[in-house]
Amino acid sequence: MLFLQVSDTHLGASRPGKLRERELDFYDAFNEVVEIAIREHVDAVIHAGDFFDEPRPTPQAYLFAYKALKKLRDRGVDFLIVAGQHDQPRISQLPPLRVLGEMGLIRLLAQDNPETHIIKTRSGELGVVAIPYLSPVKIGESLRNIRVPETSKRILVAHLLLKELNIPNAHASLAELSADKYSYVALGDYHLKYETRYRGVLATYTGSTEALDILEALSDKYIALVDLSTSEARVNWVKLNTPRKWFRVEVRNYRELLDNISKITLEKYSKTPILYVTLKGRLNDIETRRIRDYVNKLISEKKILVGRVEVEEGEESRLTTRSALFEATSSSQTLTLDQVVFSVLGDRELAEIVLALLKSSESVEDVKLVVSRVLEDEKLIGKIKRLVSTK
Amino acid sequence: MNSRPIGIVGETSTPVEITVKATHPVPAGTYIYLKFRVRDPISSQDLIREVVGVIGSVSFKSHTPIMSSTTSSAMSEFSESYISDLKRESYMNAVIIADITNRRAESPRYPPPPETPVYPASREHLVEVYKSSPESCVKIGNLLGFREIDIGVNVNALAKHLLVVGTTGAGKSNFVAVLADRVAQIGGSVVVFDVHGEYRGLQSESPSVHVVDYEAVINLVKTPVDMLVKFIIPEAAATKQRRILRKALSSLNDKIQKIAVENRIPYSEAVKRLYSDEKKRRSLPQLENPTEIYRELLESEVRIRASSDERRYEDVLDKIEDFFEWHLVGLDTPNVSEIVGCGKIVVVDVSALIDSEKDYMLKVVAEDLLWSLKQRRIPPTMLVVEEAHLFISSKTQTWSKESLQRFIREGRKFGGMLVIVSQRPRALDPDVASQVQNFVLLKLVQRSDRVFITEVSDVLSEEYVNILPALSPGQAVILGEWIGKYPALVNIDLHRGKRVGATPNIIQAWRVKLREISEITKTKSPSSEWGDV
Repeated sequence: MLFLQVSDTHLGASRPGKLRERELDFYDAFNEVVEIAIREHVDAVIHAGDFFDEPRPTPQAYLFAYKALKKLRDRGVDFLIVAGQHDQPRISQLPPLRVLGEMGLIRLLAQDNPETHIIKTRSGELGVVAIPYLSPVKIGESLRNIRVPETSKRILVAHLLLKELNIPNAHASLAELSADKYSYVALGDYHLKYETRYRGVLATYTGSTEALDILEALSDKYIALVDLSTSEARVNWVKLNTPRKWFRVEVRNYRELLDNISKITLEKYSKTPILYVTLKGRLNDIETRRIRDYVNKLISEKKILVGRVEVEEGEESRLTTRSALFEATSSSQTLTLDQVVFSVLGDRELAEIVLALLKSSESVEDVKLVVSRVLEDEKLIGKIKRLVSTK
Repeated sequence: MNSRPIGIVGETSTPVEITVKATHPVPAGTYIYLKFRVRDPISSQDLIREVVGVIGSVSFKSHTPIMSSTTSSAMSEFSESYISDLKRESYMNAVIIADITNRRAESPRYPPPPETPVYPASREHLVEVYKSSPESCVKIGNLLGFREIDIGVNVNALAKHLLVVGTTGAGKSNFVAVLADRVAQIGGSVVVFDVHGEYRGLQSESPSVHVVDYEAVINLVKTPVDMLVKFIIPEAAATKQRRILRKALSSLNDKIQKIAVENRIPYSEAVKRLYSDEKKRRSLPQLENPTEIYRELLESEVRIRASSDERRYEDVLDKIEDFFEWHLVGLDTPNVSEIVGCGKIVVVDVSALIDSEKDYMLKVVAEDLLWSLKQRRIPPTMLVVEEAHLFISSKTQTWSKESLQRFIREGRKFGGMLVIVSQRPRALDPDVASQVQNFVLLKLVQRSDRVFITEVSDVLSEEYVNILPALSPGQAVILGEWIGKYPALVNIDLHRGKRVGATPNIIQAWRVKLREISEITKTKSPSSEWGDV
């Protein structure tokens, strides 16, 4: 019995930068997963939650999901899934996975509460305990009443954070999940690849298929081919090739940034990389501007897709705190308020004051007031008109 | 009084102890009732007192010498002549438990006069003595001989801890299962330190209780550095070695924690990252297992500090090697305190560890729980220690003893309740045992065990101790603040959800094995199909 384990596909996400390219990245990764499943002739794909990025997926996310899942269905590959918190609407609304279930594209194992299933696969029966995302408070209650199936092969599929991960707000430990009662434990919600054992039973997170932030982007992305034909589950990790490359460089000044970038061959990647620059301390305005200009140049030369500059503020209980200085994208599709205000006013400090005013406004009236004051200036209107016409 | 007396009070009596003479003895543990008149010498008033008690030791005595020649005619199995009843008499000792005059239980103050008839006690006599309030009590069984009288224990009083003793098979682990389960059912938090793995697979009687099987390992990053140092270098005299190791451990664990926190990754992954960074700088072996990597990193931390005194560093390295060879260690395993919670029984399975590791682990668990209790991070928790004589021994010094002593001393203020379970109480350290104020005494045969119990308990009269050898499995004398003023003889409820622990069926196991072997031999070997070619 062979299955492909995946989780946290976050279809519809477009971080960072809300870029179309980024949205397509997540679809690319999922397409690669589908290809592997077909190529390896797996009995089923098991998805451990967070299929969509949000409980109200966009039409394009739905359409993409339909096309990709149909390929699997046409090849007779089952798609089993538990809901993650991103698949769970917070208001009264139909969960998106229910739609895909109705269409016969997926088998939704658990949406709101743990469920026990016995799945008939091409290679025999598989008992599955499925735990969807539950709040850390609620999960204790639910774990008491889980019924472990009596089948010879049985797995636990759960969308939760293990206490073993040593991160705040974890849900449960493998001991509390009675992991030793299963042949294998497939987990979702944590975005990095992680494997551990409890009483000899293997438990893994495959992690996300495409990075949502810099911390998960620095390691490679994987899916797992899980072989249950022997008494002990065996995992074959398959590295995904489609995810976009991210870089983080830590520099003290503009010169160091140039040095660091020259060591990276940005052009060799099929997808334009994403660049994060961490400044080891605050720099003066001139130096900051040079860095900003350089990052913008990289974007306009299409050497990077997104550039973000952060500054290290200090250390707090072992954690280095960083604050964002600015983030730039190939803004061909989008024009942000920040960019407009910056361009109109020219002066950075003035722009920041206006932006702060606009963003802290509590009523529409205040915003109108700020805008009208700015617009009373004839020259400013002219500038905005010219800007809009050029874009 | 509608029942017939079972005997009369003998020559001597005190307010709390009497002898009973009878033609026929009654079983030890029988509850008795007496009603008698006493005269108050000051007011010259006659008072009627009613008391209840329980039969302790029981004996038979013949008044005539027994000679085989004279009794040879009566060597049939049962001699039923009326004479024989006259020739012999039964002597029994009994303790008076309570004065129940006017249906109000209080301590007995008057000795019953000799020749007072002794009756078997009825339900009505005993309910007043053994009424428990349902809010603060959990039921653990019934009064011996009275199925309708429930015996509950006050869990609040467990802050003064509990000692459970009894021979093998007397029902200790059944009692622990009942107590743990019932405490968890009212929302309690329980940790069972399971030395033999007999609580693994424990099933609660109630769906509201979550039983967690926890496999114990020593967490290299979460365990305080000072404790780790003691684990790796147990010799307290090796202060210089310890200093080197402490520095190495602190430095390494700091790096690991920083990487883990910054990258939001577990310690095992942080160790891997740290190692791959190190490997860029110098040549290191290719390792996959995070604990092996940790060991390699720790050893290099020690080596970095090696300068003047080469030999001492070598000694530290040897001890690290020994430690990793003999101890079950991990990096990501949550501590017990991260798992305990209301309505939960956490079974800490240490059956796979060797004795010294069990000792270490008990220390880790006790200190972790006490620390978390002090920090108010966990609810009041009951810690059950099986085979306690291994850890709280009067003869040998153990790691866990000091931690358990502290748990007993300081636990009561913070909601730490210790349940000490042992089949060899005489081996327990009296200093620890004497701090316990609640007792469950199951069948105990060895005299020295019973003497020990009498010595450590201020509340136990010798008569109760005399009952102990005659108890059946599952019967117990319960005393201490948690049961109230009056000790009780109790039939402990049978816990249905405990599968292992009961003596295994060896013959059945042999039969199954034999059948398996015969199945295998029956199937043809591949070569046999060829026959004679």
